[in-house]
Amino acid sequence: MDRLDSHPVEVIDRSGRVSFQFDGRTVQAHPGDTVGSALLASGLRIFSRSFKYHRPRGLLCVSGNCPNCLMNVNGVPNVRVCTRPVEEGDQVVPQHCWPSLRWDAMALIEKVDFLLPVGFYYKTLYRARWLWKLAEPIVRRVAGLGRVDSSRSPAGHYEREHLFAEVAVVGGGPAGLAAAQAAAEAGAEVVLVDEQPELGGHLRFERAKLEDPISGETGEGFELARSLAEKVKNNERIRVLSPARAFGGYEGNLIGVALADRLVHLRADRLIVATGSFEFPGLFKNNDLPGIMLGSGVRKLLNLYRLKPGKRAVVVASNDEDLALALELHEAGISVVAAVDQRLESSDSALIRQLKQLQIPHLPCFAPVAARGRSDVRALEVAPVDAEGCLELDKSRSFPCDLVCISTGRSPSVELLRQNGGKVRFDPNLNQNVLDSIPSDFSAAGHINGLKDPALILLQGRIAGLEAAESMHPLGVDLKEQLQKLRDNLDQGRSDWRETVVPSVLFTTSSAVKQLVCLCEDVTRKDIDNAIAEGFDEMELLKRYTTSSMGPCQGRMCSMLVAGSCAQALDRDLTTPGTTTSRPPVHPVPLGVLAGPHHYPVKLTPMHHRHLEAGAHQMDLGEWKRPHTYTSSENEWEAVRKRVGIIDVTTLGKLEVQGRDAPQLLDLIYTHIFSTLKVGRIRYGVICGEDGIIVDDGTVSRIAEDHYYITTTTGNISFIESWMEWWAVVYGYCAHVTNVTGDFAAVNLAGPNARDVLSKLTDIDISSDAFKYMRFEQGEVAGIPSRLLRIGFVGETGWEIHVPSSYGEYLWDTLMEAGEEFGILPFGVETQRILRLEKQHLIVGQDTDALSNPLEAGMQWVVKFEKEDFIGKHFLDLVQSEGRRNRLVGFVTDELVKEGSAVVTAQTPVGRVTSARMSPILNRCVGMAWVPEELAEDGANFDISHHDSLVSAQVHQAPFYDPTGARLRE
Amino acid sequence: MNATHSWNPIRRTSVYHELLELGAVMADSEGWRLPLHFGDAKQESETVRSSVGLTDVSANRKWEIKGVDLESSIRSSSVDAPLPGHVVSTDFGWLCRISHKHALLVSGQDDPTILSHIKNQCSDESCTHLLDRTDGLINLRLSGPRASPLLSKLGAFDLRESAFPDLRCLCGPMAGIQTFLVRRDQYELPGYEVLFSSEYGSYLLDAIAEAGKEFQIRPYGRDATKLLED
Repeated sequence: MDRLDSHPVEVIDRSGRVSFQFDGRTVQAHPGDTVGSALLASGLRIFSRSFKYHRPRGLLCVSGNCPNCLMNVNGVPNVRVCTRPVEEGDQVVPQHCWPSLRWDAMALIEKVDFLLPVGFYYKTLYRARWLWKLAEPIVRRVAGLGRVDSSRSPAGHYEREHLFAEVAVVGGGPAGLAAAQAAAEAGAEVVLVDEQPELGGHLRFERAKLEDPISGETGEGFELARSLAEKVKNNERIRVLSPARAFGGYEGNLIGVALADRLVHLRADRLIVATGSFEFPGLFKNNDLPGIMLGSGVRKLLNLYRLKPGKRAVVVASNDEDLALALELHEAGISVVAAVDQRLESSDSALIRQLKQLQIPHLPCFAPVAARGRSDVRALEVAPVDAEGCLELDKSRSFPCDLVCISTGRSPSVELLRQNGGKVRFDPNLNQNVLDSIPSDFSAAGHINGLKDPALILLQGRIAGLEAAESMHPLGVDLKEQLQKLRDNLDQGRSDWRETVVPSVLFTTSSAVKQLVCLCEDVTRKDIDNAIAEGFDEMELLKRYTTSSMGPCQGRMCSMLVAGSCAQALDRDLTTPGTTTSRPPVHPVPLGVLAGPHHYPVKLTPMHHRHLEAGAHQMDLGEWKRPHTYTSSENEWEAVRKRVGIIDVTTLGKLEVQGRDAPQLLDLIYTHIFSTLKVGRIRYGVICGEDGIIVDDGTVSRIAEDHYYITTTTGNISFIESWMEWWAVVYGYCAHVTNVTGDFAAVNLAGPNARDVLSKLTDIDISSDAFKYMRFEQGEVAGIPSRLLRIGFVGETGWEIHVPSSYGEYLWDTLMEAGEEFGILPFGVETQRILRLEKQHLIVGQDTDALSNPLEAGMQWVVKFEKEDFIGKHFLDLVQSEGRRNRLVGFVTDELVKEGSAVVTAQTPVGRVTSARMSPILNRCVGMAWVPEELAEDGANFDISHHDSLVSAQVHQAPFYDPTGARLRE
Repeated sequence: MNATHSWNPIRRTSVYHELLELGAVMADSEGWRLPLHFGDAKQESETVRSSVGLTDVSANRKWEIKGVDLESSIRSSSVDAPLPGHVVSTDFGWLCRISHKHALLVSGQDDPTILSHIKNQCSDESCTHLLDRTDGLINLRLSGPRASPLLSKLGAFDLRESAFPDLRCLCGPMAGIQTFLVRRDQYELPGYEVLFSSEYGSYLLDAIAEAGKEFQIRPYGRDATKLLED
């Protein structure tokens, strides 16, 4: 297709060339083209096939609002090519058609459309049941729009940004530009969001001569747009986000904006919505044929891309501004065979006279009846219409054409306002929805308010900007005066304009078939009528039953058509049906953009790099990286039991509790008593919830009368910190809790030679008599201020050494060096699990669950009922009085069983295995399991379900290794 | 090796290895191993001036002060107790008031004067409690005109001049991690101290570096700091 002569309004760069692939052929384009404009220039008429009936569809809105041009671009499905800028090497493929767009075999479905009305799946294919089983795979295969290539890894690097502004303006057309400029002039910090790559809105393709009522500047519309845009872009107070789509309004003046691969959270004190309005199609037979386009889309093609969308055109409009398209088409060399005017009164305006001069037939009080053609439009039949929308079909006329330009209805783009509580109502004088109420902190300007005159649009934009800024920056005298004058001018202008509005017909009463109401879902007017007849006569019900407005356009093209059809079917006016609820996102947003960058927090101990250097296999424990093993668990086990081993236990949660009421707080939180714990001593503690269920366990060391050092399980530190703080506040305790997990690096040095190693590094007397089990000391180890805890999770003589974390690596290196002569080995989590299991030391969360209390877990000794109160006491009293129902016991078997296996009695699960490992000591499997109380006696047998058979296990209540704890206390 | 051995313990911040990978040339300073430079101190300082630079100042001493008598304890040192969300900067360093009962003191000195005054207040009768957090909180510093747009990519912070001017502080999540953020302008440039639990050091450093790519963020060391101060 040849392009029209070059004109300053165009956005294409004719000196450049871009080529891309479409359906196996190379297409040439210019920089500035969209894929859609380039394809149209190459002669393509059919751009897609409709969702259900596979009807041919061509360009319609050229604004990214309708579903007609969805294609697969570079592997991404459902790209609206009418707005997608073309790039060198693009691979564009049509979708939802076979074998081609021109000849789609699936179009045969339309021949049996009587079998597939809306909601057919609710009524058919379920009797007999096998029918649905047969039909479902076929329906699933045929349904859907576009295919996701699951083998393709997602491209794009997703980011997030949080922006705050005093004034946010959504919409970069004339109203938005004027508002942003005015707000910035008044001193506000402004963010402007516009979905187009260039600012200016509809003025970008406006060639009428205009005057800016504020600056006095004159020029063609597109020239004024560029001038305004330049001023805004150069204004330091204004940040422009473009091309960016504001897709949702959320609580707290928050707007979600998709800016390429970035999600912007934009929060503003005041928001101005200048998102304009959009045309929607007319309703007549075959209203979806390729070649039938919205007037605004045609004007874009003519001006921005300098394309002729057809050779013989019919223009259908309801006002002079839109009828003026006929003049533009004529100037472009397109034969305008009719200008159909849906106004109910004929006029003799300057435009009408011009049409007559050019011998363009003007048909007042006419409306379309039907479009003729198979794969594209060949003719348009029109007929006179009365005020009730009745067509006088006996007076119809047919005009051969290949282009129909429809500008008979507009909807304001009010989604963001409605999502924040704004309301709309139908204005019968303007024949469109208008804003009825606007949320506080919001204002609206421009086309969105139904204004058409560019001068009034600019005025309203400026007023909105000044008013928004005024709330934060009091206006000077000049600006105040100007604002009042602008308000007066706008009121006068609106009043004058309203007087010129002539009523027009929006919907005719024709009952002809194949009037597509919802282009996305192929819902016809007949479908709407049938649904209403079945009782779905409210807009929300109608939407859900027919699926109209649930497709890619989200109601932009169809919600007025549905409302109009509904009103006519119910014999009501258009003020009655209302609208459906608007929810974000307004525009499609890639899931990757919503997900944002991959921020998965990871915690590393100070010795992490040493573990990597030692060849540790890492594992994830919550957010922590921990060594699973270094060599093998057998090797490491042997080192600990026979020589000395070292494990990094930095991940243990650690808390400092300080304050004169710290003892009382701990007595409340724990089941044990800690107010009597002497300074320098350690006690094991269990924390229960108010229901008596074990929440956590750990050690409590008393550093001073009002100072405790607490360890918790690795995964529970955040909860325990909050838990303690909560109860301290509830009781008004002077007890301050600080999470010091990261403050200390910690290691557990354990084994028969642990003392030998440690004694090389410290002056502290660590002999068995001086430093007994469950004692706490502070002193230096290798010159580092340290906390030493004589405790033993793994059942050997050992110490936990806690040092300021910046010394962690140094401590590790020094201990490894000191232990070398004794054959020290680092050991990992897996080895630790075997070692502690041999001692039957439980792990909260592994051996306990949401039903485990300390009495049944074999920890009666940590529950001090003599305390007046502690959290969980009431329920533990009940357990004690009613007796145990279950018990956590140790067991042995000959075969290694899986953790989680069921304990079975008479083929009924009655418990479960919580831990199980092969023990090198016994050369058998040892473990822990919950069993019913009656099976918990020492030596009792029970069965474990394992690989579809039963394994016999025996209760072993004492620890499997060093049952008296002598090794621990050496 | 025995107990009478003369020890020379070295302290490393929790991003020590990551800074090495970025090309840090380390040197020992008062027991800490810290970056001197990353190859070109002059360029590092220029990046700070024109865009944004990142430095690790975790070696600074830090104390958390908690308690209902916090305000009077601070006043006892003749320092004006800042309001919550405000920072006082003096010779000893800076004091950040997080809430009515919670403050953070950061200093380049081991035992600043204010500390001894506060310690004197800690008694059975007073609810003022002090805790050394030098190792528990990593302290990164972002300096330069692009520091605030970088931070805007990591957390919902309103960093506009009107909302967060110099010597203000706040708590909030940054890339999912709870942080203290303090505005402390230096070298006539906007600057932010970012403090968070040290076990997240590597993770958050990566997140900051990733977010800073579009601004060509650079790490800088002590040599560049001296150039900036001159």
